[in-house]
Amino acid sequence: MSPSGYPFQEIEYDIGQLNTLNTRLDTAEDHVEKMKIVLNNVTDNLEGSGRALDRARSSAAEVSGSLAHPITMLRRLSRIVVQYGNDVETYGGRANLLMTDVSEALSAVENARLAATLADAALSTWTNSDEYAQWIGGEITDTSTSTLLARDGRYRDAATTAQSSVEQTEEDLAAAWTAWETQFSFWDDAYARAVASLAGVDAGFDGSSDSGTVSNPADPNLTRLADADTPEEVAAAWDSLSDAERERLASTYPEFVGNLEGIPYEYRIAANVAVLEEASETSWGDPTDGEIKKLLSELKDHGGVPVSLNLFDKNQGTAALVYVDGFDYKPGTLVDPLAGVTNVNVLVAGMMSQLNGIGDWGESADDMNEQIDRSGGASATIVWFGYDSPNFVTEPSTEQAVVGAETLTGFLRGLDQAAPPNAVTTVIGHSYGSTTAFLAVGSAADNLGVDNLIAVGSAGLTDHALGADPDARVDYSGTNVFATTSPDDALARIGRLSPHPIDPGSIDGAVSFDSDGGYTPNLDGSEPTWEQHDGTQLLNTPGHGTHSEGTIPLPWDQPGGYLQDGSESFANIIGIITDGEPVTTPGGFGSQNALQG
Amino acid sequence: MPDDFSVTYAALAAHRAALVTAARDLEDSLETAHGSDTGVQAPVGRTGLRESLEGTIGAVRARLRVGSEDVGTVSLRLESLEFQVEELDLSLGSGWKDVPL
Repeated sequence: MSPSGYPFQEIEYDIGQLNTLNTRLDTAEDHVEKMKIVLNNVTDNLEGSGRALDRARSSAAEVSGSLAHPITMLRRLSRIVVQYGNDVETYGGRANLLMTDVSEALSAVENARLAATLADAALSTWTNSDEYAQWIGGEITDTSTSTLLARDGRYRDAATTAQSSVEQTEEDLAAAWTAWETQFSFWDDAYARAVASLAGVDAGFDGSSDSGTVSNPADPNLTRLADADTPEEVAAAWDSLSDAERERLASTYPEFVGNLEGIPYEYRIAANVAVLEEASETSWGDPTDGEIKKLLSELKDHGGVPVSLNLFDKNQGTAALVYVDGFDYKPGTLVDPLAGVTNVNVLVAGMMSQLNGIGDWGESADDMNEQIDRSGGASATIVWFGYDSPNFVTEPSTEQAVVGAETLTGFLRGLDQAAPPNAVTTVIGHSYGSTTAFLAVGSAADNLGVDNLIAVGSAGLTDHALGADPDARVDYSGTNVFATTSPDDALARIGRLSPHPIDPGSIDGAVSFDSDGGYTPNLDGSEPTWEQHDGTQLLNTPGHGTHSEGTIPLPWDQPGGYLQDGSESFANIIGIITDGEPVTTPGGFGSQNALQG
Repeated sequence: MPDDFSVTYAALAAHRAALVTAARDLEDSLETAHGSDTGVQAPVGRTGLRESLEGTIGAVRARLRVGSEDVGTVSLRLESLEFQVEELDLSLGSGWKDVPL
């Protein structure tokens, strides 16, 4: 951290891609202009009469009208991209360059302090020597007085010079920090302005200086929230607002409020529900219409409330739904779904997960809550479909896991802030979702508040940590790691033949558990055996699936997916959450291994 | 009249084609913009701007697509006009602009 508390890290950006994006948006504007000319000509400049002409004019006017607002948004968006591109290249670029000066100044201070310490030690050795004592006491010494005087002068000069050098290097460091912090803070303001401008793109902001700066904001409270860098800072800013102001911000910028980590979940839920309901009034085409319908169904029929929502995210709609037994969203009320919970579980979906398929995961969330609650806990389970998940072609790349993990990092930090302090947090990642989740948690020094990290059917992990440092490695210490891969899950193993090859079960301290069928402990608590197995029979996971598509990649349904109630995998996950360990013994009675053995 | 007819007919046909092409190209360019990396990345771990930007591009694209859906209707009606120019006594007004190529 810098003296003013800024994170001393490189500001990542790709100006080439920002420029390309701007070019594409400009090109889109050109096409829009062409359309407008045609539509205006037809509407206003076709002279004549007749029913066919009236119909053409009317249609053209209608299309022209429906395009007007998105065209304005497109122009604003384009200006925001240009402005941020200029700002990040100017201030971010300068800050990045100045990092070298700061690093060198830090080294110089360190070296100067070391030299001063050595000079002080040498002076101290001299002033504590017998010869010095004799000389200073006026006694006769073997060495001449002039030599001793010169020696004394050298030691004292060296100490003084070293101390001056320390002071000089410290001044240089302070100047280097000031120069870097100035540029960083300019970039920081530009970032906040861009975020606020995007939040207000519907309301007229476009990122230009007259649409508000951080120091002179067009909407001060919006910019204040956008300028808050952590969930704690966001929460503090939100807490300081009046109820009326919160309501205004939520209704004016619902997409922003609904997704900003640090805003209490009850406000985010209300904002996201409003977005969802408004979106449901338009026919967007597939898959968006189906996804909206599914999310509304989860909300109204299954109690799955959206704590984040981005219907038009890159490549696919994204959302996170929280399920709490007995909690239902009631319009007009603000109730924290996490109040009083003892356990928070986050299910991270894997390859080819789409919002249309969130229903099965909601069912798992309900089953999970029910079983944890039955064990005396109070559980909330979040289904996180918050990233662009890969397909068979892109799965070998780590790129989507990196982007997803960056987003999940923010989400888990927000959750850590929102959940009760003593709640136990468990993150369960399936397939590529485990690649993503482990990368997020392993890259954070504080583990993002995650107590248990579970991989089922993992597509493998990378050991490269998030961030700009290519040498940084993941570290899971402080988190309990668990993993399982069914013997019948070939797809998970194929997934590891990639730049993310690490089996989570091979991590130091990881506990591997079975998912190939078995029995819960006997009623008397003993291990199930051939002679006695009166516990519940648990299903084998017959492929890579999470639910009744457990046979995936084979094209027929069969129960026993990793997250389906009744499978050994699911029972073990519940055991880990409630008792800290899986319920079955690896290779125990009823498992495929035992049968084959 | 024959000259007016041919001018108007050609102008309407060109406009119809330009409208359909522009609508298609608009969707193509926004699809590419939406599906590509924005270059914002995650500076010092912050993802809010990237997520907002990607979501906003997607929202603008979706709204433009909804608005463009009726372009087909306009096109059909222009086509209908093309064949009725003479009957309708249709002509281009003074404000008529050519579409840039």
